[in-house]
Amino acid sequence: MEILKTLEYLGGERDDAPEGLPPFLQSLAVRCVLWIACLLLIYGFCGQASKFVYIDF
Amino acid sequence: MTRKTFLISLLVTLSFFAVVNIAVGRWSSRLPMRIKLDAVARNSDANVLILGNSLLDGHIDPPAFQKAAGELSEQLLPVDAALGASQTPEQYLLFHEGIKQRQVRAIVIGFYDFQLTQPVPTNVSDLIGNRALAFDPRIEAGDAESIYHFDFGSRVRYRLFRSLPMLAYRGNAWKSVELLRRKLGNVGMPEVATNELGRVSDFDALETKPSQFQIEAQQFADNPVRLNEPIERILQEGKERHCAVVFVLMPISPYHQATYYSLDSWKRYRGAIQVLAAQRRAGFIDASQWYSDPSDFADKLHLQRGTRSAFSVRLARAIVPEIQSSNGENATASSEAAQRQ
Repeated sequence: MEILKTLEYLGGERDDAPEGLPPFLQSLAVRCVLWIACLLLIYGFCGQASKFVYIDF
Repeated sequence: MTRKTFLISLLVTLSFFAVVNIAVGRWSSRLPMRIKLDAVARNSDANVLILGNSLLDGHIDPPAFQKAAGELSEQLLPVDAALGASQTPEQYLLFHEGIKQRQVRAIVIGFYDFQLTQPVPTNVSDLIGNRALAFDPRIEAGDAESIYHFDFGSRVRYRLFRSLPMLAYRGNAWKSVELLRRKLGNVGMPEVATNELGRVSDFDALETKPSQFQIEAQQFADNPVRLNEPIERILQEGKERHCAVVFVLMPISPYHQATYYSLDSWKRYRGAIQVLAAQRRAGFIDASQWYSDPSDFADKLHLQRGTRSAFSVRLARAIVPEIQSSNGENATASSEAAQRQ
């Protein structure tokens, strides 16, 4: 349950940090970095669903 | 969430997208299709525009071509505007860029299978890899929207993609991820055969089943009305500029010849293309059997790059008579038009 609360907090679904969460994870900057990393991963990997044949590099 | 937190998050998000857009734009400046556009713009002395896909891209040796044409008393200098993994709409866009820059005497269109006749329905999302050429700022948006027949919604999407490099050139990021994935997937596995274009086995996907190939050839041969729209436009606009247009059925591997080009339906299809080309006063060269040694081919479709000089010489020698014949017809047509006036 604590993991779920932590993920919900990092995802912005709940405003209050769960008890025992390390202070650095409560920093806005760290949460921004996490979201940016997620967006970059999605951006890079969403092409796997395309039918594009990777030729002509 | 407080107002301050929201504003900071919004600012970070906008900054992130701005930075990624700038980074992807710079990272994508040396993509093959952009290098091709540079080459088309740079060689202003060239008077022969070569169009096609990967079967022709990089297979032209301009000095060898020029020398062979010179031996037949023709001053012809080619510019290789053929682009790998392109379809005929992108070839039309390259044609348009090519004729803007110079006085062209001849347009050479290399093709295989049904590229001259197959319609190419295209959504904005299909424009990835080299097909993202349409997003380059040098391509006029109106030309691209017209050749792809975009409706209003697609035009809005196209303009949005065009203005945001992270959308337009997303295939560049996907390509890197795919290469990484392959690298990791190959760890501890047997070596996969590759050539200068990628995995050899990927090109199997470009060949249809013989039964399907036969049906497609038969259907067109039974009712050969016209070539596909980008090719018809190239023919029309080329003729308006008094350019000779020559179709070249590209050299193809013995495997492909035996499996597909030996079919009666293909022979009828090829005959129909020749008739359509003649009706449009375009030349037609069947080079499909110029090479019969499998070792001359990098895979089932592409010639080895090592053949480019010899191929260019042979191509120049075959094209010169077509150009001379077409120039003669153009001169007669111009003279008749002048007399009518």
